[in-house]
Amino acid sequence: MKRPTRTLQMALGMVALCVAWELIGRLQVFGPTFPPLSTVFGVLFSPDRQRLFSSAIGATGTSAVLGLTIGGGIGILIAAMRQAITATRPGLDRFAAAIHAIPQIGIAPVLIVLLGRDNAPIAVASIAAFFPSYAAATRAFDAALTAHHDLFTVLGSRRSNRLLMLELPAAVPGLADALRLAAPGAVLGAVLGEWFGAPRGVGLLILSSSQAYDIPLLWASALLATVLAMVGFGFFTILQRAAARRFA
Amino acid sequence: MTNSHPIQVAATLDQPAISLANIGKEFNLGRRRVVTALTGVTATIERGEFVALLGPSGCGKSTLLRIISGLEKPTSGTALVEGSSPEQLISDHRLGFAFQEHALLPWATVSENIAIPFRLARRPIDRARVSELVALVGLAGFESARPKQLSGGMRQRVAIARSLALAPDLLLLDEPFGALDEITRRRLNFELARIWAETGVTTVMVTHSVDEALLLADRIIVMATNPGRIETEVMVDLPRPRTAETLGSARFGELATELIRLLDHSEPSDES
Amino acid sequence: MNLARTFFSRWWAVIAVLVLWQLIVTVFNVSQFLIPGPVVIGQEIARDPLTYVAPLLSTVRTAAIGFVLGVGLGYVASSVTWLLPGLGGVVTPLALVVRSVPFVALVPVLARVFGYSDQTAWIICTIVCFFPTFVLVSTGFADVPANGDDLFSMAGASRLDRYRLLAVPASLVMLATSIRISASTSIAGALVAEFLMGRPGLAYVLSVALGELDMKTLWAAALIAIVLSIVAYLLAGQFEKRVIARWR
Repeated sequence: MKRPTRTLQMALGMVALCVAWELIGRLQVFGPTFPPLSTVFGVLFSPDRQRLFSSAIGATGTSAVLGLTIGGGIGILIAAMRQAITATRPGLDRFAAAIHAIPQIGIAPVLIVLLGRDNAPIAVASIAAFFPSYAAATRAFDAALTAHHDLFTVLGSRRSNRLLMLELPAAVPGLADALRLAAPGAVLGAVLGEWFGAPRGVGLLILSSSQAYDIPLLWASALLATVLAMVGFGFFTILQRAAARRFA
Repeated sequence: MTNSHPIQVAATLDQPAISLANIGKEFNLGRRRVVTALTGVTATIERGEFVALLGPSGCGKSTLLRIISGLEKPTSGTALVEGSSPEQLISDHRLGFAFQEHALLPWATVSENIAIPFRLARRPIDRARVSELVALVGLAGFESARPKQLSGGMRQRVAIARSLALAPDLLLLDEPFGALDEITRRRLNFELARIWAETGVTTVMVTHSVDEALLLADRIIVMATNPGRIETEVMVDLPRPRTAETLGSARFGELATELIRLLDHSEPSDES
Repeated sequence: MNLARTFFSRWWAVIAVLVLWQLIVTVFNVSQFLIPGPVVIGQEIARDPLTYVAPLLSTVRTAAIGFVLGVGLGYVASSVTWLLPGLGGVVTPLALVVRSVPFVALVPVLARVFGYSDQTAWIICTIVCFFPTFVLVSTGFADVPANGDDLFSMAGASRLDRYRLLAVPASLVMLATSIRISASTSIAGALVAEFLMGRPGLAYVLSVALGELDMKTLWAAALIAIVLSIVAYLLAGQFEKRVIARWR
């Protein structure tokens, strides 16, 4: 009873949001920089721009997936190292917090210089994906129950068997959760990296449309990035549910 | 995990399965607060015996079982299992253990769960033995089911089968039926009695149920709280096999009354 | 001695990265122009601290104003949605969507609506702190049902009494968490606002240095921004720990 009510409220909220946006745009409350939703949709679905958008989505999606793989993968690996060697824990936690606190806009110019305009989006996406996956993976590796650990102890398990047969399988739902939490950040990181002048991508669309004062295109690109981030979140939510069904 | 224990006696036939000498256990709660879980526990358990540790919660019976298993170390005193340290028994893969929480791996099937002791002992999985165990606990046909498809009672059957997989020298049961409903629990008591009769393995079981202890054990060690210690021992001279009729026998009633009296006595007057 | 050990166990990974960076730059004789080592960057900051002090203060000021306004308004807003149930379901989708909008798209729009001014930078900073606070504190409030038939309402407590005595204590831990998160996002928001609107601050130094390819200044400003953000994050993290120890 409670969940459907909440879902209904959320759906109503979404509708209200769209209506409010349309009205604000129509009535020109904030002037021409705030176009109605229908105008933005018009741009988003106009046939002559489909190739532009699909190429941008492809580029941003690729950067985000690569960033998620690299940043998320490193996050999970370091969390595994933290799990294996107890003494490293305080230092690695501090290191991860430091990476998390790095302002993307502060590091992006340096990455452009260091890695070039093609690779900077991947690098920013990796940095963005690192901390959420590290934090969730740390929790995931502790997911095995005490009773299971006791069982492995009394059965005379070696450390390697404990890791492979208990800690890793028990961590699978949590690791999927790690990717779920890291995915939106990876998309937004890729967009920010592209904004500094990548050859393709949603971030480049945002940059060029804001420089060309093409406000509807700017809004359409921002919406595209937002939807892409939420799609990433949704995709890994489904994956995480499946993993939880199988492994818990 | 090497043989660093100071006392290493070669196993002989006449030595007891378990000997506990003056065992004490304290838990450090931090801020200089220490709780004494066990004090002065001395006991001997013979080969092939089924002993129940019976007592109210907080009497340290589970802690004592964990010391025998090697999961905990005593603060003082020594525990010898088959003449050597509990750790030795673990590293030889000669220990079976069933927990109150079934502790089945949720991602593995019934057969895979029962076969885990083989894999952790790095031995080839004996398929015939696994199906024999599945049949022994009455789960034939459920080999490839996952734990969450099973009822609570069926999960505990799997846990019992797993604890017997390597034909252990010692079987430790920590309230294995504690989380089950009364009817299922009673049924599994009879089944465990039958399984134990077939294997004859030395068994120590923790329970707070008088009936369960009487249906299964040869001897009941009654424990008391504050601090956790052994109150007394009661020999269970009920004939085997014990069945539903045993429950109605006069001797069962006498023993139950006696045990309830002892437990009442062991409980401190104010429940704090 | 003991202090040194604690320090090292917490910071070894961060120190290792700095040392490795310096080693790579020295051993492979990397161009100091393109990638200076930490030592050279430190020297650059020490040589001309005044280049960085004023921008640093300006960034801190923008971030602090946005932080206070964003966290404060976020707390007020989630209080209002708790006191007026039903509103939450409508506002939450907005919060979730806005959190996934890329900075680089949000800023040009807001700058056009509100003008290229310090006030707009504050608004941007406020927005980036507002939404995480709103979402987190709302989950804290959600632990206390607004319409309960518990002891309190039976004793005739009004909803405001319930708010004051039940909901506020329940929300404090989440408020502390959002303070930790906002500590670094407020700085990120300030940097983005400065960078995109050309307002004075660390990010403006970054943007000018990037335009002139003045690598030493670029690295120095980036490093200062990163350290500032990390320090803010860690201090807020200490604060959060204390609050959790007190209220949980």
